[in-house]
Amino acid sequence: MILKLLSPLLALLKWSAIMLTAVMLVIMVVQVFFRYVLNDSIVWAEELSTFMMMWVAFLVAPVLYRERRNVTITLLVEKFPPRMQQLLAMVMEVAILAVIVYFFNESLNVVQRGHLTKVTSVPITFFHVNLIVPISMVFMFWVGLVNFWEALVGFRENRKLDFGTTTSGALE
Amino acid sequence: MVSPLFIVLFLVLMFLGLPVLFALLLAPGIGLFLDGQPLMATRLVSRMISGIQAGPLLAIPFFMLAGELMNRGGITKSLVDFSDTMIGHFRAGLAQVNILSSILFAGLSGSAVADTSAIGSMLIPAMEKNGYSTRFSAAITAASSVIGPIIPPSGIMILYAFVMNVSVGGLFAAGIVPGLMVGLSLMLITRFIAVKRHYPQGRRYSWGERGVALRQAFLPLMTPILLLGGILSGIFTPTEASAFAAAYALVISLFILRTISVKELPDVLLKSAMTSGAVLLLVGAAVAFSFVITISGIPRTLTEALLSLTQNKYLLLFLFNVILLVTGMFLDAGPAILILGPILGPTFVNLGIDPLHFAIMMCVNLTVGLATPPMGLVLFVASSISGEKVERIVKEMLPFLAVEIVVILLITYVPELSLTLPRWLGFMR
Repeated sequence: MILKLLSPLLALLKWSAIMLTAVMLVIMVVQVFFRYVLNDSIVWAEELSTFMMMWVAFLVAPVLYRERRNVTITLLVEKFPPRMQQLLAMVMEVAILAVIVYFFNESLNVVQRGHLTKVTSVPITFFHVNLIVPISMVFMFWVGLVNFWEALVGFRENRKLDFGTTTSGALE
Repeated sequence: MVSPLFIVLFLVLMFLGLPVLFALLLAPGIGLFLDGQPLMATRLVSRMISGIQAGPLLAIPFFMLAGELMNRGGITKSLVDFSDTMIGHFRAGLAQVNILSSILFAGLSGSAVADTSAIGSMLIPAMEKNGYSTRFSAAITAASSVIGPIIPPSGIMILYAFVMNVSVGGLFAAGIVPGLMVGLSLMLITRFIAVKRHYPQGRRYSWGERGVALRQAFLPLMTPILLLGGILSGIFTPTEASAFAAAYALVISLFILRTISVKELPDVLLKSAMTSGAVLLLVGAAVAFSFVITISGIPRTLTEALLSLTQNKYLLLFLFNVILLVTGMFLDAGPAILILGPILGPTFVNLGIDPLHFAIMMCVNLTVGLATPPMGLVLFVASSISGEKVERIVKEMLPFLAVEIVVILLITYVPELSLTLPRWLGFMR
């Protein structure tokens, strides 16, 4: 069930990111048009787009994690025997899960504190802006469990680790 | 103060295959806990979140989107055709066309990987058909693609400017001359190799044919002019310019050149969301990491250590370039900037190096690192396109890499080469 539900959930996250990116682009283009053609700036455009950008980043975070697209140095690990690779992958997944749990916990505090700070240009608070962080961490935890399980099965079956395609080179 | 040992832990975790994103958070977190400062560790979370909530970073997803749109379909072909009509009749015409196309492409996308894949898949087969060896064709494609992130717009420069608090416009202006220097030096060395190996010349095109090619390439070629003109003259902010570039690329590729269809748009948007998401998360983690670096006092310790080695500024700069070249062999430019920028930046600025000069040295050096083994991104892409082994491409690339290292040293020891333009444009005094 955990495994079965993951694919549609990740698809939903991807579509949400696509929509938000499109809206971000529209807002910024309209803002450029207003500022340079109509000589009238839309004050909320850049701030709202910045928050949307943050939402996009945290929406795709579980997808990047699942598809192993985060920049990783595999030079050394690729030389290890398959069982060793899977064992190391399990250790790394535990380390990542620890980071996720800590982040989830602390981000709840950040979200709570956000209630007190209003966003200047739109009628929302930082509670709404930061809410995506714990939500993303829940999905990341889910992915982490699945990844750990796959590494365990891979270890049992002496299978080589799938290193995925990193988005290394995204900027370069 | 936290013990700098967390840097060692970070390196161990990274080389054991922990994604850089998590290593950037876990290592300083453990360091702070071990030093009995768990409260400080909570700041890692808030720093990362606030690190991503920064307006200047908005340029990243938009430039990615513009690049993604430009990389698809006919836009690359129009640039290559235009370059061919202009210099295809030179000695080793197609190799020279490859370099000129990279220079023109650099003004559109600013990505070396996209350059290798877009130009390589067109020109490597064409070069092979014209009698060039596969390894030479792959090598010149990889070597010239590093111009991409040096000539603006440049993703890694936006990243650097944000993390290290220097002007994006200034850094863009500083990249133009070094980028052209790399391109022209590659053309020169290619000419020498071509004469020695009797590589062919293409046919000379008439001015009429050149006019037709220019008409095809005109709209894409206008992108860097509008973009850089806007940013460097101060009309556009980099964020507005990036949104404008994305919209411009969308309009010309969707409605005018028709290189993509509406059906492909979700895929283009997703790709841009995923790649920019990966970069932004890394930026957030790096902001948290650099906060711990600052409180650990590493830059000060490093400055003292370097000064105890030598007080000679030129020797220190040489050492700096060696460190970056070695780093570039193992790490991509983006993560390297995020990790090393906060450590080395303050150190060298303390030693009297201009922040913009330091920035351009770092960006150019790490970009050349994309084409150095064993972890050279563009080498891998060139290898997969050409079907040639990486080690054979590397052997053929040695003269090109040597030339690029000479350019790095020139930029290092003659700061005016990169700083004159930003000074003229008022980005520095």
